[in-house]
Formats: sequence, structure tokens, C-alpha cells
Amino acid sequence: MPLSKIRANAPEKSEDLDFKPTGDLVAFVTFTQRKEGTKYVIAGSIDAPDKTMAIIYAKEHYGQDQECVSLWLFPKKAIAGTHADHPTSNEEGPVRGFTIFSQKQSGDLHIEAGSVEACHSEEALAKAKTQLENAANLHSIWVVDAEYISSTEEGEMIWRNTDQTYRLARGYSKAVRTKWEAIRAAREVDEYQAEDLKESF
Amino acid sequence: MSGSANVGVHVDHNIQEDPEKLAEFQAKVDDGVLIEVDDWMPCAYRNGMLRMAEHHANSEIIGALPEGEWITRAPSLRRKLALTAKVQDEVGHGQMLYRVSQDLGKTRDDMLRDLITGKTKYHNVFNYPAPTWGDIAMIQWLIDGAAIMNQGTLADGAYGPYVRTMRRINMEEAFHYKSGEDMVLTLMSGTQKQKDMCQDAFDRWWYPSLMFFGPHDKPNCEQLPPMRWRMKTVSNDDLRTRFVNRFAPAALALGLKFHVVEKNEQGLVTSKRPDDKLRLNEDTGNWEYTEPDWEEFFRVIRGHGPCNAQRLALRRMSYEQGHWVRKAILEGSTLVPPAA
Ligand SMILES: [Fe+2]
Ligand SMILES: [Fe+2]
Repeated sequence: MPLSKIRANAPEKSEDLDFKPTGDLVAFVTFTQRKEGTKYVIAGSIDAPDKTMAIIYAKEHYGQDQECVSLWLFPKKAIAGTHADHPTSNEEGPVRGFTIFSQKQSGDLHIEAGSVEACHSEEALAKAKTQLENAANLHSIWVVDAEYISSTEEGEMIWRNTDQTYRLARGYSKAVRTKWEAIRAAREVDEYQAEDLKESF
Repeated sequence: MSGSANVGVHVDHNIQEDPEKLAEFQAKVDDGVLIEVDDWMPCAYRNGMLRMAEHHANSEIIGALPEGEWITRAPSLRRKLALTAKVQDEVGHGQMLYRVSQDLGKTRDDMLRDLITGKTKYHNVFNYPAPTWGDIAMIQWLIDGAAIMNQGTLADGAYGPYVRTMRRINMEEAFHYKSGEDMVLTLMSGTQKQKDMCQDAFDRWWYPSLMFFGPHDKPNCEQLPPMRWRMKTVSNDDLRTRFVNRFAPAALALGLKFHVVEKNEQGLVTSKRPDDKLRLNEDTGNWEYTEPDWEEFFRVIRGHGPCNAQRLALRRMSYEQGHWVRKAILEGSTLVPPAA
């Protein structure tokens, strides 16, 4: 019982798709800055055809699931680091800036950790290791050629300034509480809500 | 929303894993060290995590379909905004989970195609219909509630990229659940017509939400790979018990009644009787209830649920219609750095 004609008329087909796979878009890694002056922390990835679209997508995706003031993005392939899936290169180029990101332990988030100047990523990683405190104990270090890092513009609005409480759990707490109290005694509501959203209720 | 309770791990005994590496891997998992994509892991673990993340991603994007349909019919502007944001979140969860899967070695395009052609599955619960606004309230209260419960324990798993994704997703699931609770409360504090609509939706969704956690566990589930490797950390039955203990008393307090129902092929209730087994067992502290119809569960998994064909047809249509866009985008794509 679909509600729209388009849905009602979607043909049911069982044969294979009659065109070939297109392959994937480019994976971009996204970092967000929660407040001005704080470090950029990894938010996740976004797949997009190019950096312009990547910023638009990331603003909509990561900029709307958490308040933030700025975004950084770079192609995943631009990462060189301490792990085999992000190999470094010693192909010499001009001396340029590399941004460092480090992850304390496996499972932790990568966080912005300064920058170095180098002529290739191997040199940048070596310099990052001497520059970072406690480098030997870090689980992972990334260096990214700053040329590949795109960011939102200064002062650009990401988290919208309109009322967005409708998309946050806390936007409902007052209404929910009032409605429960019309049904249950306040003490019972307290007991019930004490369990609320604590990991798994 | 969603969960991955039904994804098994196929251990191919022809693949001989290095016993030393395997022991090291197990020790890491036991010590609570998180596994990252570039760490050594057994083949069956890599495949199992890929299947689990892919199934979860499929469920997120299919799960958006029944709710997306209701955006234009939301009863107020605020509900419309919330539902739009919720559907956007679910599709976003899909994009994050496809990324986790892509990093384990399968392209997104292949995953989308396998979903459409039925080679891979999505969560059973999205094969049920949502004929009224009451269903939208129930989905967000019960199914997103069940999803938080499940995903909260998955966030305690061993695979780093999946765990990080669960933590991020759960912040949004909290909003889905809370807005669902608000909608159910609104309907149950409303007119008789609203209450009836809510009760009817509850009758349709109570059993799918119990089945959400998957079939009964095998008796040795804790020794089997999914739990031994902390791909999941709590058994299906334990999660279901927690869910009923949380939701049964809340539903009763709201004035909802529990029914054992018969449904037709369209997933609509044709007859119902009160669930006379529903009670709190004072000795165990757990709620007891009439079991779901597990035959129905397996029938729906095999593709014969009320909405299986409809969901896939819509997904396929949008994939086919979007083909030229993807082609145009990919052929014009720029700024891929030289292999670093
Ligand atoms: Fe979700
Ligand atoms: Fe959700």
C-alpha cells in the first residue's frame, strides 16, 4: 500500500542489472573543529566526486550531526603514515607543509597534532616522529600534504543558526517529561528516566 | 536504526590460519584492544565484519524508505522537520557503514548492486508496512529503541572502525528514540481516535520489534566466533529480555494493550487476542510474553514478507534512475592525488 504513485508503480524486476558497475567515488576524510581554537578531530569519511562536492556533502553530513565551526577534508589517498595501508613516498618535491594527525591507541580518534615542512612524506613522517611527544607510544601517525587539505572558509556557517532542537534528543526532554507526568507519578517518571539512554537503557 | 543480529560468521576450515597469529589476535580481543583495519585478522573475521557492516548499511538505507514516505504527510511542521532529519540521519548511517565495509575490501557500487539483486540482505524489520502515522511513531519508539539497545552493545565490540561508527550513530539514534517517545505519548494523551491508531500500530509492531533481535541463540553462542571475537557482545535473547523489561511496563503505563495477532499477506492484523502470558516474573525479575511466530520470521527472511518486493523495487528504481548522474560525476571527477 504505497502512499505515492511513483512508489506504487516502481516495477518489480528480478533480472540482473543491465548496466555495468560504475565504481566508487573518491573517499575523503573529514575532520571537524567543535569550537574556535580547539583541535580538529576526525569525524569520519565522505565519498564524493571532487573536493568541492566533498565539502558540500560533509557540511550536510558531519556538520549537522554535531555542532562545529570548521571542517577539514582531504582524499584518503593523500594520507601517508605509520601503517602499511598509508605508505609514505620518498619522491622529492618542493619543500612544503604537511599536517600531522595522531591516534593515541587503537580505537581512538585521530586528532590534529601540528605540522612540519618536508620535501616528501617519508621525511615529513620522520620529522613528525621527532616533533611529537611520546611518538613511540602513539598507535598511528598520519602526515598529509597540506596542498590536499581543503577547508570551509573562515566564518562560513556550518551548524545552522535556526532552531534545531527538533533534531536533538534534548529537544524532546521537556515535552516528554510533561506528558509522562500526566500519566505517571513524578517519582515513577524519575525512576524510568534514570535508565534513559545510558548506553543501552 | 538497525542491527545485525542475524549475520553469521562462516569459518572456512580450508583456510589455515597461522595459530600463533590467531592466538595473538584472540588475546588482543580478550584484553579489550581494538582491532584496526590494517591489523592482522583472521580471514573469517574480516569477511564476517564486512558482511555485518554491509548488512547494517543496507538496513539503514532500506529503513529510510517506509519513513521517507511519510515526510509529506507529517501532522505538523516540527514533526516534518524532525522526520526529514531522521531520514537524513539514517541514510547518513548507511554512508558511514558502507565506508567501514569499503575499507574491508568491497566497493560501494558492488554493495548497492548486490542489495538490489538480492545477493545480500537487509534487516527483516523493514519488510513490514507503515500504513498510518501511528506506525511512524511506533517505528521510532520501538525499533529505534531496539536499535539503540543493540548498537549500544555493538559499540562495545572489538573492531575499531565499526565501534567508532556505532558511537557516532548512537548520538543520532537517541534523537530518533526520543522523538518517537514524544509521538507515542502525544497520541496516547490524545483523542480516542488517536489512541486507537496508536494501539493498532502497536499491534503491528510489537512482534516485529521482538524479532528485531534475531532468532534464539545457539546454546554455545558465547564460544562461537561472533561473540568470541566480540563482533557482538550480548546474545540475541539477552537483548530481547532487556528490551521487553524496558518497554513492556512503559507500554502498559501508557495504556497500550498487548495482543497476540494474526496478520494477512499485506502485514495487516486480521485478528487479535490479549496476550495472557504477559506478566512480570517476580522471581527472575524478567517479563514473560507469548513468543513471536518464528516461522513468519524465517518466511520474511526468505523474501516472502509483506513489503520485500516493494522495498527492493523502489531501491532498484532509484539506483537505475541515478545511473546517468553517477556516470557523469565519475567521468568528470578530479583531484585524486597520485598514489601517495
Ligand atoms: Fe540508523
Ligand atoms: Fe534511527
